[in-house]
Amino acid sequence: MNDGEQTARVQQLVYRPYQGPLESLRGRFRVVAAHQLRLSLKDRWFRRLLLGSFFPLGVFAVIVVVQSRISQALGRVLDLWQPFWGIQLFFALALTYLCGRASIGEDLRTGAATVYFTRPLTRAGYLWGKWLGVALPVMVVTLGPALLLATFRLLVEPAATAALFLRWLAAAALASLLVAATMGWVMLGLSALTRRARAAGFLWIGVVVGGSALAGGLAETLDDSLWRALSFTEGSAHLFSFLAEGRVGWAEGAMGAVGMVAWALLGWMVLRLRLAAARDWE
Amino acid sequence: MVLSCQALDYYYGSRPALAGVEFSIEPGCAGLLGPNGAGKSTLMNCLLGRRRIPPGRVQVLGHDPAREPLEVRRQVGVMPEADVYLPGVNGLEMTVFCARLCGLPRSQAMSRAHEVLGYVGLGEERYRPVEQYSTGMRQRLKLACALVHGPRLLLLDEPTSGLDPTGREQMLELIEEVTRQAGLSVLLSSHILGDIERVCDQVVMLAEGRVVFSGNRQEFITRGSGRLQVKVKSQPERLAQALQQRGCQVQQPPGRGYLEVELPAGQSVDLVWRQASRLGLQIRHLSPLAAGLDEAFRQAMNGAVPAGGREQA
Repeated sequence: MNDGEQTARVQQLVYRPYQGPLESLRGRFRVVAAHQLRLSLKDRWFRRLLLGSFFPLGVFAVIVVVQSRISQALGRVLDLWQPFWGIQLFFALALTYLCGRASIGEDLRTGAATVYFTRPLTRAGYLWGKWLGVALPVMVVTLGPALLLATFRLLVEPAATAALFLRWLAAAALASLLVAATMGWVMLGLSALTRRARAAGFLWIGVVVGGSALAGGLAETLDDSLWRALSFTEGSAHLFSFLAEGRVGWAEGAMGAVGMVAWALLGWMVLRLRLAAARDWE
Repeated sequence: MVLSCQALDYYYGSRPALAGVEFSIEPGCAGLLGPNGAGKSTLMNCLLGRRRIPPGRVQVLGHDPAREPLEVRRQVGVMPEADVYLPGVNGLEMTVFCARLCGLPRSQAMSRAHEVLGYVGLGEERYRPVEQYSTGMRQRLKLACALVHGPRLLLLDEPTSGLDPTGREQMLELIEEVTRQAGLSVLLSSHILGDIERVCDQVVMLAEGRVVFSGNRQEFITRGSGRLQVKVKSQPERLAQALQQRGCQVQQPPGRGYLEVELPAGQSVDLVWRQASRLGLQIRHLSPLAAGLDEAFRQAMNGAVPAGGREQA
């Protein structure tokens, strides 16, 4: 199309002011979250991991069936929740890496603050929207399969009661929420430290691996396994195991929760400090 | 009144970016002139409530951005100077997202985005990633994002920046259209005098954070010249000689039939009337001579023109 045709086409269209309805400001963070999720879903590895996170469910379902047959002969019930939770946490870590590493840094790099904050959006709406864009996939891959497995166990295992089922649900919900909060804020904080998604991704891997190493080192040095809960991956596993079936003590469970909250707060503070230093983020 | 500022100050640390800024803008198209570092972008950010300013200093469409920044941003469309975009999306998705951020429901946002993208001339390009856009396309996209939610006021920061002559012409045509046909008010910030001269009927000029002039564009141009165009019925050379004897600079452009008179300091147009009356000459036409916006700008920067509107301390 040449310039003459393009000019002619512009002149044929008339600008009309918008006079339709407007949504409430309170829900504006959902727009940011939906945008974030749509971007994530464009990544094929994100889609594969999201779907793939439900595959271990099949394996554990088989284990539940086998276990229910042989538990009487074994004289005990196998601990399924801890290994199951560990596998789902792997998916959560990977999804957080994929959808969170570019969330703040890319906005800093491309000047997107001007896009967001020249429109009726508060900074809180922006931050909560970004967090939800990371936290929601985490909750899907932790809470979703856990709920399905709990339901399956209720239907298949003779020892599973309604009270136990509700306990599993509550444990999964609380642990998922804490894991989502922790991973979300830590990832956003790391993403705000650099304008490159790849660098943020490396930082994330470093925090996860380094956190585990630190927690393990402290536990070995101080000869107290409670310190393992400082790693938010191990902490969430301890918390979930304590809440779901009480296989670890309340101290380890509580330490796990405290550790996750501390990590979440740290990530949130890093994010706020970083954005406060960037003048255009008002 | 669309916009007004009163005694607006803003500091970056101890450095004043805006000092005692005071002006008002009526509906229409106003140009915000000034060299780099004059404070234009800072002023625009203050108008949007993106900088902390005391309440009561600024009114935008009847709202104080210090108290109601979100309401101001809902009614104002912004086309920033910087090359800003959302990563990983195409033009349509970015426009829809901008509409959604302004509160449009999803279905309305989609139809509205298509409408404004067609209006600014982005056809099939709207489905391409924004990262692949040329400068001209990005400028059009920014304008579409500014228009999508139906604002009452547009803030355009260097809208023709980086455009070739054809692109610049098309952008200015669009701006003229939205001002004249759609009735939007526009504040166009630019250091390109030709753009201001083309589309704006009001001018606010900033220099070193202060308002040097605020008012009608024609008034800015003619006050900047300090010169008069005088046409007499006969014997213009006699009037020219008499005025020269009294300290005026007089030129008679060949074949034009009038005199260009520059009055000396302290003299008013009465001098011309008195000399014509003394010589018995009949004045047929007397008016200020427009110097052109660039000349007016230079004179204003050199302090040759007294400040229009409100005097700045």
